[in-house]
Amino acid sequence: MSSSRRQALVTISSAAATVLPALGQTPSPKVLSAAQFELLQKLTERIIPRTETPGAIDAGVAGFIDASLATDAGRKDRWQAALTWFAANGGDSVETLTRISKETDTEGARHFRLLKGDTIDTYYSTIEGLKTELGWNANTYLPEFKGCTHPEHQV
Amino acid sequence: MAYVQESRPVHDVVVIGSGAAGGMAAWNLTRQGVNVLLLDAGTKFNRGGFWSHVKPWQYRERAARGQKPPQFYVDKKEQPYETDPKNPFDLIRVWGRGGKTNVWGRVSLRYSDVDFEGPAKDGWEIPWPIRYKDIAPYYDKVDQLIGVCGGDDDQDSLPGSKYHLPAAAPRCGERLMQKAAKSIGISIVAGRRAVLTKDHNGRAKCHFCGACGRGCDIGAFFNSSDYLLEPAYLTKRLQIIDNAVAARVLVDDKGLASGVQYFDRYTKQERVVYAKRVVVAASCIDSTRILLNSKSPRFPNGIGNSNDVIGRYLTEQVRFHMFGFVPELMGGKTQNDDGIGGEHIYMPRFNHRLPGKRDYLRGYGAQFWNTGAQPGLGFWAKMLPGFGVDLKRDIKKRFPALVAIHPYGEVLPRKENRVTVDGTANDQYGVPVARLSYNIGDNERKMLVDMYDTAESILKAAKAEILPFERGWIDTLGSAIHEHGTCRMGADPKRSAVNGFGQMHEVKNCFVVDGSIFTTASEKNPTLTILALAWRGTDYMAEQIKKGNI
Ligand SMILES: Cc1cc2nc3c(=O)[nH]c(=O)nc-3n(C[C@H](O)[C@H](O)[C@H](O)COP(=O)(O)OP(=O)(O)OC[C@H]3O[C@@H](n4cnc5c(N)ncnc54)[C@H](O)[C@@H]3O)c2cc1C
Ligand code: SF4
Repeated sequence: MSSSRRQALVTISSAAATVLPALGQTPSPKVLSAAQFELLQKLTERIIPRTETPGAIDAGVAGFIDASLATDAGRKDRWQAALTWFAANGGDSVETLTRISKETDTEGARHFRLLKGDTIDTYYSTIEGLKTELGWNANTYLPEFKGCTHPEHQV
Repeated sequence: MAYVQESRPVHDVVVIGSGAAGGMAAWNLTRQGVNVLLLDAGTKFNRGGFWSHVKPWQYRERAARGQKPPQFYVDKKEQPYETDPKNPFDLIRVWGRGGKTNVWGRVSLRYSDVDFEGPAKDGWEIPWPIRYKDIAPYYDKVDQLIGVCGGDDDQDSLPGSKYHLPAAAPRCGERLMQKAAKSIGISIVAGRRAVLTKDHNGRAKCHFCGACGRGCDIGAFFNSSDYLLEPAYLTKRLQIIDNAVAARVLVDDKGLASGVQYFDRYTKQERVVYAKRVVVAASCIDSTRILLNSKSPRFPNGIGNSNDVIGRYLTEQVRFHMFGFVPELMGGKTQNDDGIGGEHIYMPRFNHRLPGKRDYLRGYGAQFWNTGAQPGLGFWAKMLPGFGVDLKRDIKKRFPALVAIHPYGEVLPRKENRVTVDGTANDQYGVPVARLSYNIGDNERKMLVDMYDTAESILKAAKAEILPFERGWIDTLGSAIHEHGTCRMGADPKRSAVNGFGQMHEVKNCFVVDGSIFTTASEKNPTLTILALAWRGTDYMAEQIKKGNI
């Protein structure tokens, strides 16, 4: 990790400590084993970590993924295979994740795509991801819609 | 026996379907004093139960409590159709009052004479029997009735309207796309959308919540149930039978339509209603299936189909999607980009004005939905590289800056693109299901090259960071949801099924008024034209009834 990047992380995590509570206790999973669930939490947090805004664990991403497996056997199989593979390949090791994030056709790459895709889809549909992180506050009642009012954007 | 037959009720008109086409037929006939019995394959959707104001995270909470949003779309398991697995056609149906207009995209574009004269000029397949001047008064009436917002920036390929409600203000990303397109000589105009941007005909205007695809909780965009069926009901001349899945139009020994056979959707009981005239308006593919299944000794090939035209010439549009992020908005503040839901701008067809000869026929336009800060960002966020803090930052930076372009190109009508009902597969009522065989050809592939060039050049002119795309990729066939052509109108009864009013050449008391009667698909969304044609067709029908001709 470059020193500027590390510096940035330190700044961010110290800011985060003032705003966010400690990462919550593990809720009990519905489908996965406790060990699998703990690994899933760590993995999702690697994809979308807590910064000055909530991360995947804050948003309960692993819990939503776990719950979704109860009604989708195909996804459940894919996740079981992925978690078995991750457990056997360094858990949530940054090195492993970095390597498989750059591969395309390997088994690891397939599991990484599942992890990244599900984490993103889930996190950015939570109040933490969509509203707190991205600032989306729409789907509401407005008396009028002004559209673009920036003079520099006009045709 | 004779006595029993004479005493059965014979309706003035039976209409099949209550979407844009059937709703218009029922509304226009009842207000002219004609009694209508309408058969609809579903029931009314309860507006109070729409999930218009349920936020993405609340969706999950509700689902966890076992709640479900209204089920608009027909489940293919319940109502199957057949398609080539290697070349699938995605048939999207809404059964129930108002049909697909409950959830439609509301893009409301007038066909122009560039569209109506196209086939006569280039000689591909048969000409349209009507021109813009024939339908223009009906477009005017439809605009006034349903409320269509838009600009006065009309073009030869996109006629304007005196009756547009105020256009929706473009979002930043849309302005930047307009500006970029203009810099390379392409004009992007105000979108024409059937959304009430001000109070209209006693209906409240839109409150800009962007939830239209989930059904509007206040009915601020046109849907056939509220805008057509409800007023028709008030005339006391409309009777509706819900959950009535029409199977066949019956034919008497004179070769005229005499009624409709249907099945109760849930009890599966077979029933028959008798009628002096029948209007078929179940949406293109369902109407075509009904017509083809309406076999009789007089019409062994399906009602009105001695010339084997019905079912053929299925056409739609070919489309793809290209996305990018504009630098001016990257890293900026997230705005509320909901507006009237979907795009506020439109790129009309322009290729016919370019110098030089094209190596393909017809043209394309483009839509721009999904611009700006929109939920459902997963599809692009996943395409960004890496993970962790950098990924999180890259996503946030791009969230307000998304721009999108969705070109739609006309697909030529071809004989071999068709709906058949060969009886190898039946539905739960024992009625043969539709089999769809459909593909695009060389003409569309050549047009796609142009479509890709145009989309890319606009995004490049906007200096957008373009999301990786695969040149030549097309969306699943059928996904434009603009099926046409399988009961086409024409002046020549040998080569078409209906005349310019939707009246069957062979069966004078049977009218077809949905998208199946379009001679070509053009590059445009059809519903405004379906409404105008259904109004015009049923005006003619009412006149013929009054004259005692049918
Ligand atoms: C998501 C989406 C976005 C769209 N966006 C646009 C857009 O922006 N602009 C545009 O112009 N168009 C758009 N469309 C298409 C538009 O909705 C249709 O063109 C229009 O609704 C067609 O009207 P219709 O009456 O032919 O069919 P429908 O609206 O589909 O109505 C068909 C009716 O027939 C009934 N029916 C079907 N089968 C039977 C049967 N066997 N017996 C009895 N009744 C039957 C159904 O219950 C329904 O009432 C969109 C559609 C969708 C789904
Ligand atoms: S944006 Fe307007 S038309 Fe669409 S659902 Fe909201 S209020 Fe209704």
